[in-house]
Amino acid sequence: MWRIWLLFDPRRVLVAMAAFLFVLAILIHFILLSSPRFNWLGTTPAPVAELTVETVQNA
Amino acid sequence: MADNTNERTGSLTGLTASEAQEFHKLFILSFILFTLIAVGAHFLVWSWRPWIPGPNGYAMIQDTMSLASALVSLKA
Repeated sequence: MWRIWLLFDPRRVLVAMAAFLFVLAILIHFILLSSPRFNWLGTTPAPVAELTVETVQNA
Repeated sequence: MADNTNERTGSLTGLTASEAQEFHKLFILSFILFTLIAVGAHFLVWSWRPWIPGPNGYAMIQDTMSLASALVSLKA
């Protein structure tokens, strides 16, 4: 397995991986912030938790 | 020194076998550390607000007992 570093330059792999993971993390965090349930900066307690099949049918 | 130069020309990246092994050890260690931190973060977020709702919505999995019954009913 270590022979992979004879094929791929470790420096490039580290830079590419860091960039990819950073962009992915930023993307996921912003998606979560834009959702009502997983916005951890919002003050409303789990708004989607109240939404069940029964409450929707009864409404 | 001449031997070292020959070793370097043998690989595409210019690393010797021992250098590649040394880097690989660090890489795997960092990967494991990163994964453990990620697993811990996911555990905390799941216990805060689970992201997979039960068949009857998120309200089903508000506590552990209803989470268990939700999993059972998912299997049935």
